Amino acid sequence: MPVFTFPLALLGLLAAPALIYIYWLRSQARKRKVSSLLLWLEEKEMWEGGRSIHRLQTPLLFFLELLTILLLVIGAAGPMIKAGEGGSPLAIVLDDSYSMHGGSPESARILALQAIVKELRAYRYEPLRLILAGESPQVLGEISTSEGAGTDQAVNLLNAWKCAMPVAKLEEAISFAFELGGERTRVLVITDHAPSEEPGDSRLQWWSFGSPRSNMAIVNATRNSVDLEDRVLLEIANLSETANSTTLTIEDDNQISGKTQDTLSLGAYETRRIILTLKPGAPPLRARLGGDMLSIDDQVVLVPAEHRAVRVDLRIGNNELRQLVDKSLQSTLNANTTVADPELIITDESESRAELSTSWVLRIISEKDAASYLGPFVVDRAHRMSEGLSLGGVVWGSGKSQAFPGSPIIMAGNIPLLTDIERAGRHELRLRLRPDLSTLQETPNWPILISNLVNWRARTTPGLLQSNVRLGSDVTLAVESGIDQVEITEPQSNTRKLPVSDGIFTVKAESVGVSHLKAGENRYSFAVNALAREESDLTRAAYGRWGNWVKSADLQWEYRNMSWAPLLLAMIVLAIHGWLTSRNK
Amino acid sequence: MRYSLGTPRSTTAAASGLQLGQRAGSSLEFREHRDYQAGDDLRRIDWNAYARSDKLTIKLFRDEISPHLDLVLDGSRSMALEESGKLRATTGLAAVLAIAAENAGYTHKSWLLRDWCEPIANGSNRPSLWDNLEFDYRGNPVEGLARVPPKFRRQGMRALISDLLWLGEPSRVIQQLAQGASSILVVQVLAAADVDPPERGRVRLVDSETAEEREVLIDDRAIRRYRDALARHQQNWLRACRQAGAVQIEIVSEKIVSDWDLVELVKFGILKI
Repeated sequence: MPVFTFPLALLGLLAAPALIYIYWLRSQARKRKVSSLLLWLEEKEMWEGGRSIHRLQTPLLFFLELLTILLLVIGAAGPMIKAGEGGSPLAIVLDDSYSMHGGSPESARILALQAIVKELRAYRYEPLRLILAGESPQVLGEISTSEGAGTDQAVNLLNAWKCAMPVAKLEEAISFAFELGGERTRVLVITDHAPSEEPGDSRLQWWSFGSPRSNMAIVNATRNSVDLEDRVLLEIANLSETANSTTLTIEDDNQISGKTQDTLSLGAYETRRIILTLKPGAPPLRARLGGDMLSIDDQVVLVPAEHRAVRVDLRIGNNELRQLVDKSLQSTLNANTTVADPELIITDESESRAELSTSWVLRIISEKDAASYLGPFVVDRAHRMSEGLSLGGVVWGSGKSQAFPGSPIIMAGNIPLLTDIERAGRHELRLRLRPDLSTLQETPNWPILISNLVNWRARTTPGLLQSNVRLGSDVTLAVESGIDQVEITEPQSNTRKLPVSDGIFTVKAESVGVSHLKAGENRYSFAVNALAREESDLTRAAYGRWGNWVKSADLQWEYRNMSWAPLLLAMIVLAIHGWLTSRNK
Repeated sequence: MRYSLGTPRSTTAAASGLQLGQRAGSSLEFREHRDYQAGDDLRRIDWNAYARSDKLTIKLFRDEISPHLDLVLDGSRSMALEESGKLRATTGLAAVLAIAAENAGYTHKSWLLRDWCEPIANGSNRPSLWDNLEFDYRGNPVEGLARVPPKFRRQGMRALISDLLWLGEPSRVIQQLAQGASSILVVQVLAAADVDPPERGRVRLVDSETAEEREVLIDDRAIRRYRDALARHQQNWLRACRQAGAVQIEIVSEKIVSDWDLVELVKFGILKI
């Protein structure tokens, strides 16, 4: 089937009705009084029998002119036919965000699936790649349509297109598709919203299957354990240009505290915040809105947050330094100072007594032979301790020796200031600091350093880092040493086992609901909720198609321009027309 | 400019009159002898010459013409064809001929050819006094001319102004006019649309006289056929006129009314300046 380079030229077909109109006008007899019909007796009267309604006079010339118009318009539209039988490479970038479910049962995803199948049945693509656009691009699969069952394979693969991500980074996925497929590849983007601008790359087509709709959604939900009680925050938004109302039902899983139901009336784009306080260890709490066009964001589950405080033993003799550290520890929410079974020891002793095998140590070393350093500070940004540090303008007092045990994390030129020594999973950090020669402790970098250390240690403490996570984010579980795999059971999914790396198990939260983890004998639960305001907002959804592959110079070689054929035919027809016209004269 | 009616170069019959014609006639002014030919007036045989030569000889005198003009106007509706100059041309030419006749010392009488050839009221006076000049006859003027033959002045000049677009034998009309006429002038007044057919395309032609309609497709072929038909029709009339010794000229009404240039009539000797 030919495609057209300039389909707008097909508007020229409007000339056909114009031609018909001209002939119709010509066929309308004009009244003319003559002196006598005597000299017209030889002329045949056109309509014997006195018919009052005459059909359109369509002489051969008319058909020739009509044919000429048709041929010229087709020629101007630039018909292209495929140069060969081989398929062209295609990458389909699939918006994997949950807004694609909006408008169910005729959701954008369902409409898109139908369009993709239709496209694949109409044209041959070789190879066909399916790429999911979520937080990061992911290849769903590659199909060789030459095997004859390409469309069926594609449909099978598309079943794995769940549209459960809280974001779809389409630009990244498009770049990835071009990198994967090379210059010849076409990219078809399937989504539910219009592109920010007309696709600049003519190898790109953008198909959107959404339609603007109102939606009420829970856009934020947290549950934290603070001061011996669980605090729950819910934010419900009316993502609509008009006021709406819905019911909010809150219940716990064990039906202990019963169920509350309330009617929420919200103005256009209004967000209502609800704060609840629960007893510590209260069962999972469920909040549910009345049904609308997108169900995934109408319900949240919040499981009890696991309190993960790091036990810190402060063994600092210098009072001034001790106060500095203690104050910073208090500002972090997950540190408890204790001397019993510490997980982290902070000391100003260069060599201390034998520590517990699981304890981490931060040694703050104040050397006598010291100097103040203004920089330049070299920071290992990949290290967890350096997260958020900004040492510009800081004066750091430290010993002068260049030799210092451990891997440097922060250096002032060639002087190590903070080093890390790892031994069997536990870390010993050495911080060279003379507070009297420094301004570090007077800057935000000081509490950041302490907080980074505590958080780092907390992450490695067995247990979940976060019990309530947003869809698409990472779930991190620190496991006890010796455990090399974790069993995960997600909602509406089979149980599977996944490996542990360096005592940390990380998995992407891809299923909304409560999931369960089993690490050795320990069991954990976490809740995943679809909380992405951008995805819940369906008011900007759009339906349409943008881009035209045929215009792409990179793809021209696949097509042969056939403009010459209709234009040549038009010339021939015009020649016949001219000959007939001259013969009639 | 003052026009006067010229003496026709041919006359249909010898007649006595006040003017000397170009042809031999019955005046007392001798012109020449010639051999007798069958049909010649036996009274003109020069018996003296016969006695001398035993040969019948005819004595020819200059023709003496009685100067009178019978002016016959075609009263059919086609002479007043809408959107044409035929009516103006017809009446104008009639007036010119009548005035020119007066200027030449002719008497004249005007006739309107309708269902019969009826005299125009005050038709012997100056054209401005002519009355009841209506061109609305829907029939065939030939029949009118035959039904009640007009009482034309014998040996007078007769002029017919018409578009000649009749169905019928031209010689019948010419013979009617030629009876007792000294000369005949036939002026065919055609509209430009009669000479050049309407524009191309589908045209419903309406006969101005009978209101009969005919829808035809006018293309190059149709136009060619029309022109051929007109040429044949005019040839028939010309042939009939020649046989009767009549002079026929064609006038295109729009052309003549645009400038009233009468050079054609002068060229044929019908008018003299």
